[in-house]
Amino acid sequence: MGQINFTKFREGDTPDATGLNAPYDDLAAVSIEKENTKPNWATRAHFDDTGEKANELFFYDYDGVSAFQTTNTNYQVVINAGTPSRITFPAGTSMDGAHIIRAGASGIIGDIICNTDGNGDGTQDSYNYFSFRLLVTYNVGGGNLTDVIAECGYSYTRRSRLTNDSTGLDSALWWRNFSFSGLWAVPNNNTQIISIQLEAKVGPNGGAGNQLDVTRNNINAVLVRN
Amino acid sequence: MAFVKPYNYINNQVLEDTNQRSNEEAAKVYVNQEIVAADYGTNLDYTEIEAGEFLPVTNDHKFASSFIAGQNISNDNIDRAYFTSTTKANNQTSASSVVYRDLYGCGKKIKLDRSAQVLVTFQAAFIAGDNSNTTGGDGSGMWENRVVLRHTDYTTSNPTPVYIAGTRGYVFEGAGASLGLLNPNAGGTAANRRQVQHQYVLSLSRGEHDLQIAVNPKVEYGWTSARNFLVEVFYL
Repeated sequence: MGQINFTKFREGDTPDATGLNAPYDDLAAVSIEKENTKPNWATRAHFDDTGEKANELFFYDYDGVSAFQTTNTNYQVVINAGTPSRITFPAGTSMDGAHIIRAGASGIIGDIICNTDGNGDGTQDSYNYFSFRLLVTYNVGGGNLTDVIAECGYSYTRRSRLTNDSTGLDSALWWRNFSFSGLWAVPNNNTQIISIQLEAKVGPNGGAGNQLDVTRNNINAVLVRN
Repeated sequence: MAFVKPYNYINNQVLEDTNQRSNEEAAKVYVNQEIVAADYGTNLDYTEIEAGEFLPVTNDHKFASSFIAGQNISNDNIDRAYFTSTTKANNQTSASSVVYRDLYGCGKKIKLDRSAQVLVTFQAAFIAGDNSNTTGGDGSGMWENRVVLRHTDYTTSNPTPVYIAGTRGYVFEGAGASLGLLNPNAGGTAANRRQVQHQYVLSLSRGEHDLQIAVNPKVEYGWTSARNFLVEVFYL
């Protein structure tokens, strides 16, 4: 921790530049450290509004009624009236290795269709499900990389497995909300965060055409730098 | 940024009062915390400069950069929040008959010191009964009770509730067969026992805001049991 020195001039002394400059030069050399600060010394005015240092909150919202429908058994980005469900971060959004991204998504499903929910065999359990995930795209130098922040699945029917029972393939579960969230540890210093997108798929159904239907949906992401 | 001395003293030069004053003024401002992010970026963690403050009466937790407020009610009969369509004067179920009712235990009034982004998280277990009096008409069958977040901005001269479409969720009547506008058309207890949930972000201005979950009911009785409502404020 630096020290600020003052030269005490007495009556009759001629001040010299060294003495006059000393306190200001010392002050310029002092840095803000743990030893010379205390909790709550800062006010919001001290924080950088451009968000380089503190938490940042980002949001994507589609609140319309246009339906995204998919029968794909591989993850597809949710498209809302022609626009992908995606947070695209400003160029240069950077995070370090000790940082975390907390991301979540919520929305509502519409008229989902389940033609096949499996035959009760354990190998066909996943026929009965559709699922969502949040995919982050980032760059640590070189090409862009992706990783899954969070993933969740829901059942088409009121059963977790089974059934070949057509009474179970009802629409009682239409217009349900979904909501999930997760944490992702940033792998390296100076990781460039490119985007986070919401993706959806249906379980493997032997081509029987189970269909997912999503209307309103949103993504929130907190870049946690504390 | 580091302190920058405005004037450098040089031997045998006459010292102007403005130069002396500029140095003193700059030093005074600096030591009174004219400090920016670059000063502490590599030397401090935020947790060392904003310990936060817990307000036990309202259960809010405040930080320099944010605050967190919310309500949490576990599954307890005496804490149920009920809603009913019977208070609608003319038609309990018409699409044009919209009367939102506040959901008890799912709201928070917040006061922002400056403009902020607010993340609202809501989850509740809903149960709806049947509407015994009304059949036919718009949405006939499984009457939908629409659950949304309502925002009232008290910083305006005429605060008007705004119902946020991007938060909508539904719990349905438990019986009926004919198609409605939104119609999970099977009977039983799947459509009328629902988890309704959302996360939503609002950009709000400095001042007082009311955030409240509201229901437009179309059944004679329905309620929530366990529910959580959380508001997180991000000033930065």
